[in-house]
Amino acid sequence: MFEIGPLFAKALVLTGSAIGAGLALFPGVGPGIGQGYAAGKGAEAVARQPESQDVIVRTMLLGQAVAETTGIYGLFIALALLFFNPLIGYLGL
Amino acid sequence: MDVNISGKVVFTLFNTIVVTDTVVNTWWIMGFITVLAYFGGRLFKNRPVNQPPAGAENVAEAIYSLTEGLVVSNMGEENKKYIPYIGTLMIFLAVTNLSGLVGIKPPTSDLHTTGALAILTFILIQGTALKGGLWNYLKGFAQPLWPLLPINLIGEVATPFSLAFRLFGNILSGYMIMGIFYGALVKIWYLFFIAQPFHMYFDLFSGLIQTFIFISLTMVYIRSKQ
Repeated sequence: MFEIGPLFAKALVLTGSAIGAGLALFPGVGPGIGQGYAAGKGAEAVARQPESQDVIVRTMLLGQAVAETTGIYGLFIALALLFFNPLIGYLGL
Repeated sequence: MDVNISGKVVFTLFNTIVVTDTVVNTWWIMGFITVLAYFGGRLFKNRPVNQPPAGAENVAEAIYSLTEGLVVSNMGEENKKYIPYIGTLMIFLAVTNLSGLVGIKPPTSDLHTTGALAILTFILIQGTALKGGLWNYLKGFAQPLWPLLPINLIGEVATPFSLAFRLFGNILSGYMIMGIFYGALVKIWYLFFIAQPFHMYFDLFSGLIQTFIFISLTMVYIRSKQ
């Protein structure tokens, strides 16, 4: 087996973190689909009942905000991997 | 570009208290709101009762009636006592989220600010739930079946986390995208006016929507515990 130097090990961790950050943004797909679906249903509801537009828009935004949570968690993981580098600490460098 | 979860350290007071740029910006915003509130409140002190509002009185009244309408439509007529808290939250969050427009880093792009606000809301939610009696409060975690107890507990604790992370993630991502955009535009100065529509989306639209969502979720959570 060949020896891995500290610099190479650090580069390896950073590479893995960058790839992981990219993958961690995949949860953005779900909220995208969900929010689009909610917006479409909201438009349908407004078309059916234009007089209750206020309540419909409010309910739609609330539901979209809750649906967005998983995407935001993914974004936070990506930010943590990119800017705070929690995995570097495990190397003891 | 520097992205930090807790802001840059500006100076350290007495070698113990770390003052970040978030704290400095929050104090600026607090001063701004305090001055506005002082002058807004003074308008109504010596006001003749039976006259229509004029000038700046209209703005103050519009902000109050907006808050009152939101609280009454989301929580009902009997919960008007929550107007001060919701109104404070709304004004502070709106000014904070819009502060990116004047070029400072919005304090809500710091997890500590949003975390503090979420903890305030969490305490209010749990306090409202405790008003129904300790036994009912504890029994509520075992609904509808007792094996769901751990899931209910996790769901309860996840509330402040999701509130804090939602606001923080939205504002920070908007701030980062604007930072990348300005970094790119430095090279081509004559395209500088392109930044305006992006400010309109990331600061105006996103900031006000997130304000609305934070106070709406606060009201819905409090209402669901009554």
